Amino acid sequence: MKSRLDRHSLEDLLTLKWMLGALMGLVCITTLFNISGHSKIPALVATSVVILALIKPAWIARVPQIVWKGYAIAIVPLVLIDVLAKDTIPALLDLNTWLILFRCLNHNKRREEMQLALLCLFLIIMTGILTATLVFGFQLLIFSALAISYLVINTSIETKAEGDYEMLEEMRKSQQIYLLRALRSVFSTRIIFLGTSMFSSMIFVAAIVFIAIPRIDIEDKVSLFKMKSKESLSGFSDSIKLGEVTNIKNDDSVALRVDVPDNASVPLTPYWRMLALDEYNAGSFKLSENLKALQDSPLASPYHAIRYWPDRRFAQSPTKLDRDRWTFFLEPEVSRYLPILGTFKHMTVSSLTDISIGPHMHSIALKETNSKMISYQLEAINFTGVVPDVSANSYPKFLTDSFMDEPQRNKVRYPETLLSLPGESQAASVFRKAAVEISEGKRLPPLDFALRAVQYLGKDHSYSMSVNLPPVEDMKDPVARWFSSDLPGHCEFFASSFVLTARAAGHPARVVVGFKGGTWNPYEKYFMVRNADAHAWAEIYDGAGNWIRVDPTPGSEAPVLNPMTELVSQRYGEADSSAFLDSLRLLWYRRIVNFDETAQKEAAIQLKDFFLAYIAVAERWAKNAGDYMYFWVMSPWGFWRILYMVFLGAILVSAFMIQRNMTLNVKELILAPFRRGDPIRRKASKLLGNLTARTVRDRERFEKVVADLQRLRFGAKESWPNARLVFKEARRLR
Amino acid sequence: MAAPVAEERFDWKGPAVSNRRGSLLRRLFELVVPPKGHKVIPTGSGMLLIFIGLTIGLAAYNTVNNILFAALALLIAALIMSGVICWGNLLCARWRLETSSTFRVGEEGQAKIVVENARQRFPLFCVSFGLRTEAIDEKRRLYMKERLDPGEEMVLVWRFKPIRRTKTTVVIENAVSSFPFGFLSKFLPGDCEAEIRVWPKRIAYTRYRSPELTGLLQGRSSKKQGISGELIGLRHYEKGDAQRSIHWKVSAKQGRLIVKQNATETQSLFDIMVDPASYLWKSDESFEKMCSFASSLAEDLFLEGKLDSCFVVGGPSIRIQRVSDLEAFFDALAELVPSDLEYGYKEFGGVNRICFQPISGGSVGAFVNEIQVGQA
Repeated sequence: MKSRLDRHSLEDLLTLKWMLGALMGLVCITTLFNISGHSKIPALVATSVVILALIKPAWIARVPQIVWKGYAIAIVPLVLIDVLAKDTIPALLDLNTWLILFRCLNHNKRREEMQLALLCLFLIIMTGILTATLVFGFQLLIFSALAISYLVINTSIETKAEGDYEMLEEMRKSQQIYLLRALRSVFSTRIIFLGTSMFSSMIFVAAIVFIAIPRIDIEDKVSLFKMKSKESLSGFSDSIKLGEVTNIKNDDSVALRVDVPDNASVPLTPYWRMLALDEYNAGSFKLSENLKALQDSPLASPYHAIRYWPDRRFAQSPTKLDRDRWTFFLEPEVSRYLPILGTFKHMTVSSLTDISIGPHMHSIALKETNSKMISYQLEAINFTGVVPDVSANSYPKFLTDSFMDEPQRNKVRYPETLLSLPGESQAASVFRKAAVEISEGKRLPPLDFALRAVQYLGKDHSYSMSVNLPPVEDMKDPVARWFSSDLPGHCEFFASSFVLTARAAGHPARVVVGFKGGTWNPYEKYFMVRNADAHAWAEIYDGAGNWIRVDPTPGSEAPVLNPMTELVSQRYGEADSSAFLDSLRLLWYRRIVNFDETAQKEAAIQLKDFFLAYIAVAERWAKNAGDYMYFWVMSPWGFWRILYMVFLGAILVSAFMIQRNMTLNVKELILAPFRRGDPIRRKASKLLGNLTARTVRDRERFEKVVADLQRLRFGAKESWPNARLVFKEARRLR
Repeated sequence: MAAPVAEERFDWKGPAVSNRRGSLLRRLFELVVPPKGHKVIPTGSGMLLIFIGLTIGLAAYNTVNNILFAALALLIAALIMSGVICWGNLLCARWRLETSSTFRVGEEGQAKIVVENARQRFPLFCVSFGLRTEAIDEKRRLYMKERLDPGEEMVLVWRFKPIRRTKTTVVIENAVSSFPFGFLSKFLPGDCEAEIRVWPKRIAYTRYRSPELTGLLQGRSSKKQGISGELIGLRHYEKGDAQRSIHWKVSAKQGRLIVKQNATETQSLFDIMVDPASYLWKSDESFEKMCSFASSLAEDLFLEGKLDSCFVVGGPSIRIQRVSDLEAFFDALAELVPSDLEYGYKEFGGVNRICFQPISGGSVGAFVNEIQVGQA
């Protein structure tokens, strides 16, 4: 007997296969848009061509073979130029894009189908490794769905054509492509249900496999997939001009996510410190040359940190101690300087060779700005807002000097930069005058001075994101001009003015850049720090080996040694849809990108605990049930009790008999005991009566159903077909 | 209305055959150690997938990159799902083999596989069956081109022309499912075979009308087949007489069985005797020709109503009264091989006994009382 729903022809399946191949290529090519710093032109061209091909397949079919052949040949010189002009990886990505574009529109032979699948897989894995974003996760899911549909359709085609590939190829060449007709031919609830269940079970199995694959940490990592990022989107570099931090504030995207332990205390207003800048020159602060050279030298390796930070450890795995662990996820292209909250005891990073430490400025930096998300973990963080000073001579001078050029040795160098004022004498005198005014001629302790200076600043200036400095004759320095005016200003003006005033009073001070605050995400319980939270503040030296945080911007807390904290459980946050979407991203980082041996062990332990808990519950339940049964059997059996049990048993048996053939609806089930005869025969008779009074188009099917119904109505029970199916068929005929 | 047919009437094979279900323990054991013939083999694309998986795994362990682990997990999941689904796809399939009743060299016969989906809910997809027979030098794979909905049957037909006379079998070697991804193929043993006898080829031959023969072949031929013609008398019942030829009234009077004697009975009838002695038939070619000649002649004589019985030396002696008798003779011919033994056959048959002997030029002659009456 032929299948009743035989609707999709070989032509339709071939069309679908072509379409799925093109879509697969399209999804893979779109992953290239995730890579920042990679030329988007090949991806844009390829995407437009594939979309055009999907909208107007006939146009692509009209392209003569010679054009494709020419295209295939042209790829070679194109890629050669690419390789010479760029790094290997971008050239490889471009080559892959061109090849996929060619192959996803021309895949007739079995060999070509395999090529397409391989190229797509290669590209998607490459881009995944380079970006590791959540968007990529979705793209991978879509790609998997398309790939399995492609494979299923391929298997169906193979069976339908009895493995005759030559015939298929000929057919494909001469075929007209009608995408809508092909889609309509396979669109049915059954196909959708089967496809969805197949896809979801595959993802489920993949999740289990992903968790279960043993992770072994191999020390020697191949640094194959390190792509140099071309541009830094944000302005956190080692030189900051006035207004740069404020510019970053216009970007509302999340720059940093910080995963906090469940029962930890967090500062009321956390300051995510990235870098301190010491050298001042005409409105801009920067890291002095000798510190910069030191940070890029081998001396900045974390292996040397023991020299100046004897109580801190840097490692590639966390400690076994029971301490609060904060995990930081820094988005790509934010900065090479890692945000940290203050001092800490232990830092875990994936590769120690990738980071360098600037002890004097208390900064930790990557070798270069990250092109993909980077994560690190800090243990036992101190929230006081105080960082220790490292004396300028903590390294022998001959070591540090070797990293400097000759002209640099004659310039003002760290630590002298910590007290330097604007070179312009008029500007310097503005700050000196203010310093005298603030300290009233006395030598104040640094904290007291800071408090007064902040008040002094707040007296004349309010906060504003935009500043229009009026031209002042004889004075070019913008900070001095702003300071001597009564204009509102942004955080950089406040921080710079404070630092210069403090220096004028003889207190070493520096500007610090980073993020302030952040939004609490209640879905996954973490801090979302946006670029809009970028901030500049200051640090003043207390004369006793510590740098104290001072935030002179209006609205900030007064400089104190112990800022307020609160418990995570008491923290409220934004619970809107964008926070929910962002929590998905953290889940992706936490559970997929950062899934390691430890996480695997934790998952295994959780699973074990889960099952043990269930077993304990089941055990308790079984014991209780056993006790109850014993009590029940041992209690005296009277007449009414026996009657009650017999009645209950009868109900159970009848329920079982009824449910065995769930052929009847509720009304029929209820009425069955009160009617004569077999309920199934009765229903068959009723349906026969209904059916014969109707005209049906599908005669063959109709006759089969009638025959089956008649067998149910009149035939011996042994010859009965499945009554439920027959009734269903009869209902479908309506 | 179709008559109700108990399912057990057919000899179903395959995983969905209910009486093959063993104990739960046995089934669990079979999951671990598959029974003979059950195997899962990676296809070409499956091998490629495994190779890619190995490379990605190597890269993943070298870089400890979870994106690579995720890709590896997806590949492994695809492989696992491919295995599980192609196993599950075949789980509720059952099939049986049917062949045409007769096969003859050079004439088309057919072998049919009836597949049924014994599931209640899910369709059966993309199953193929490997078929083999020694009657031709070719194996054939039959594909289920459409999906098979629950409870439905589908017939896959293999039409072929046998090339040699033989007694052999048509065998379903295996049932294969590569559904859904085509990475793995699940093989199940076909478990089915049907015995077939391929009758000798029908060939052209020459019949001589020599005076001796015409003398022997006297009497009129009847237009009707079988026993017919004018009633000329009565005689005693002999073994093999048709029941309807019994004259019940006379039998009742005489107290023993009496049958009606028809005119055709008295016509001169022929007996065919086939001697497979290897000293007669030096070459296989002439032996084959003799078998074909014998079968063609027997068929023609039967159609003319002039065949009485057939005899294979060292084999059965068959009185030819109906088509099934002739078929029995053809069956005997199908499995006939040259024999070294000598059998006496002088006592067989009547006057018109047709024997076959090789003659010059590789031909075979038919002789009645040493007179050649035909040649092939």
